[in-house]
Amino acid sequence: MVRVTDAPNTGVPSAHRAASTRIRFAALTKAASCACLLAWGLSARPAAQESLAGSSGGGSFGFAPGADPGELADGSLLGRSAKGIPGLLRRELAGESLPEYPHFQYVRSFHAGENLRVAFDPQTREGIPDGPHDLFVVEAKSARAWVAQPALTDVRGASQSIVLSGGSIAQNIFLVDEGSLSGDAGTGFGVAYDIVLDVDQSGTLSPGDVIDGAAKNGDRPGLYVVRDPIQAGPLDVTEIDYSVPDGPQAAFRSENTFYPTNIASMGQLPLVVISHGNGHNYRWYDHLGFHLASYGFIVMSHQNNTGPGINSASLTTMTHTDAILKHQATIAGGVLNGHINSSRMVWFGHSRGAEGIVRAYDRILTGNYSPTEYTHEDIVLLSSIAPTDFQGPNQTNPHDVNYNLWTGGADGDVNGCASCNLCQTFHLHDRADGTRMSVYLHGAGHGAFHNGGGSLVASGPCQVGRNETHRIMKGYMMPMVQYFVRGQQAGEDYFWRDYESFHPPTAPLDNACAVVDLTYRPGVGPADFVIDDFQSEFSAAVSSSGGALLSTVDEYAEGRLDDGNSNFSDIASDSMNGMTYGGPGDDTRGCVFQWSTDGQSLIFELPEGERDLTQYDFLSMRACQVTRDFLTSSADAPLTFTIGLSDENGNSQRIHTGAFGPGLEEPYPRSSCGSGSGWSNEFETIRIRLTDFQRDESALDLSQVESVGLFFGQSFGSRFGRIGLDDLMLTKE
Amino acid sequence: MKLRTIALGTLFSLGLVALAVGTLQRREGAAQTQQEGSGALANSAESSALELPSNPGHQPGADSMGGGVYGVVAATPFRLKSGYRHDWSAENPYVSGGWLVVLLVEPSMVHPRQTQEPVLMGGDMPLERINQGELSGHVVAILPAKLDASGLPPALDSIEFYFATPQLPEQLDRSRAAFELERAQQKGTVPFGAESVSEARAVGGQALQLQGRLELIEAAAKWISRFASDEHELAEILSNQRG
Repeated sequence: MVRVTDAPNTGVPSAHRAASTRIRFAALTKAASCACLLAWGLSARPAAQESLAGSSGGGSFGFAPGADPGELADGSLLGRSAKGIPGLLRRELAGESLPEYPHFQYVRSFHAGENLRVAFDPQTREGIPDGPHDLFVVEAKSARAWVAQPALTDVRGASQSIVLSGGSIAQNIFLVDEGSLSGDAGTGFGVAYDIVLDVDQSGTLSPGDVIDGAAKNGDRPGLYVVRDPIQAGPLDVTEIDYSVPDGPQAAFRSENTFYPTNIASMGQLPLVVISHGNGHNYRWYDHLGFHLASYGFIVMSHQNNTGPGINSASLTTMTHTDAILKHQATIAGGVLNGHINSSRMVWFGHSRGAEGIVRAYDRILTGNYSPTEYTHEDIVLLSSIAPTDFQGPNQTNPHDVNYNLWTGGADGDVNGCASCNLCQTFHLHDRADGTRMSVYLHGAGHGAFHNGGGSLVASGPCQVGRNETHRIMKGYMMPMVQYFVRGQQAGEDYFWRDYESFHPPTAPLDNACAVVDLTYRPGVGPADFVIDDFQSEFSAAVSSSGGALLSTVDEYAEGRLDDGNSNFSDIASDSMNGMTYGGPGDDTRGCVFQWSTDGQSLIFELPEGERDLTQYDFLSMRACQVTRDFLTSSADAPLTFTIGLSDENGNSQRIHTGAFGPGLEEPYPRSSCGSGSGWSNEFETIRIRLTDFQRDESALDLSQVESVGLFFGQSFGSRFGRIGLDDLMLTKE
Repeated sequence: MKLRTIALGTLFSLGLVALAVGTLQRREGAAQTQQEGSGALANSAESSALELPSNPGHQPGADSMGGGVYGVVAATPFRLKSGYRHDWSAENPYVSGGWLVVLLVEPSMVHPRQTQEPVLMGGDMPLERINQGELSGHVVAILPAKLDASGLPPALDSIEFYFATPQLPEQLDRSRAAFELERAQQKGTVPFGAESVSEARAVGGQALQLQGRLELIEAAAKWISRFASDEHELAEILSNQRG
């Protein structure tokens, strides 16, 4: 794998520039008539060539006062009113340094005890003099609160004097804290801070100052400092075991419940219901029960009638949920009475129980079953560990509820092999229309997710034990429930930031086998734009959004994300080899392709009328290596490539995916299920803030982006590879 | 080899429990293969039945050993004042009576898995398995049955016990159940002999006249404690279902 290097003051990796010439001549013969190719320098237009070389091609993206959508703290032009302070410049400031262009990534969450940096992008600091200025880290406030209390008080004890410079953002990165900021939010997750550049050094937030934070209602602070989500929360926990008098069928009435010991002094707490798998035991989830209850959740794990099948399991989940709500006045002497928030509930299931919770949601939503104490709208998150898929898309469907999936690469039961459709965990995930995220843990067996002891039910090399699996579960489950149940935004960074660069501090990094792949797709709403999800416009030359799709990659194919036969053997006729995202009746689609020559590319032209990207925050996609392919096996390493945007003026900018982490992980090296080594394909999310493409001297105009390009080969990342791709889209934060 | 019915006392004298445990140990190695895709499980009901040494103390030709069920250890008819729906078949028949039985089974048949499992059958009806039985080889199960005019279920020595092909019991409908029974019969599965049943009935004690499912489960819990003592935790849980 070849990593590109930065070209000083241009933001364009030098290797990228070198490659552009080759692209130009190669592509002209294939698609010279396409305007979007021209923009990538694939014509003889001097301007385009200059832009590829990093020179300004016009179309600057200045932030003129009063015209910038991010101009005011509350996003609107207002006087000094209850809604905000006029003349403030709102900018993303807090983030992490990157080893190459775009040099810095603006993010939301930081771990307590770790360094905190801010960066000023010279591209967006028009009107801000070099300084010196005073930099404050302050307690976060809403725009309204800032109006009432504009005095700046640095939580570090004193502000920090900084001087800005021109050129690259790389020269404007400042270390502002070395881990002293508190992340102790009690039972919450993330202590909110704002970053303020006091331009006039007045000691108050005033016109002309720069702030990262101060959103409406205080729900978008500059940053969060979070505690290690693997560590227990502040509350003592009491565990009780009892049976409910009715509801679930006799033999399945026992519940194991965890709650904060001082619940009597607390208000209503969210309820997490755990539905175990077949042959499992409701007492095997203490690790989650104690952990989440220590953060103020009530966790109830129940006996589950999984033997007959999924409908029985789903009925048990529904009736137990009814039962704990109905009988809260008598359970354990009424200790829970009045303390269960029945409108913010999570269903968490394992294997058959994991399908059961989704089936249960489907049954309620479609009117097949009516609980007495709640409705489907009270379930805010479904989380499935290694779910089976017995019932198929018409019965086991998360619909629009938030959905989370856990998959162990070494699962010896719900194993994911192409021969077993009901063993492929990702079917349910890809059916989810709402926000969905997944955690794939190499080396984890089916039994590693519970704490019942016994076999890990694992098959494959480099296995990960229960302790390490549980640390990862806690590390992601806690941010997840805080985000989806309590709306604590600090959790979101865990879903999409590359695991290698952002993970719970005590995650088992010392175990090289504990590889984690993450996907995250926020629910697609009218404010988002899907460039290509491959669900329509099946022509290889047209994206689902209707724009032209120009490919110079090899063996490009679109289709259902479902392995074409019953094994993972590398067979040329099975273009979707290793894909287990859809089964019979599923329509999830994507594309696969490969490259072995420098400069091969996929260019997605944006339709007319869809080219103003200033209304979005992120460009995202999911991608994976294709298992057992000769190129994948030969690479035997994470893969990277380069993503670029090109505007209608011929300006373009590119970012190497390796800037954010090691790249797309190679498949878990498990054999069987055919010949060769490598288990099912593991999508990972790549999510890049659109303004990252405007760093340094970039002339890219986000208001008129003509195309999105993916570039492959040694000048752009990995020399060769074969990958799958899906859900290329533009989203709002 | 023709398989033979073995009565309860004989089973223990033959050390069949030890044999079952031995089988379990062998299965540890085989389990991975079985779990590598459900397809590998498809024929397990046929392929993994143990062939026991013939017992000269019993008559040939009256055996029910072909489908992974080695013997009936205990049995008693039950009758409920208040019935319930049977989850273990597609039709969810109403249960007002039937048999509570303890069967000695091939442990690999009841190894828990999330994919399809062999379905324990009594004639053309799936049984409700109350415990796992993997270590002990003893499965306590409920066989729903229609009661005759005298309030008794069909004679136990008229019912074939066997494991049907792996599937979800709740998806197993009448026609499929009939097919499974016919298939089992073709493979030589026959009801347990009268002597076996008689011994099992003696162990099972008198017929149960119960209020409803809750009491039936409590009765089953006692048998779990007695015949599958490794599952004492489950027995305790099932004994405390009254809320």
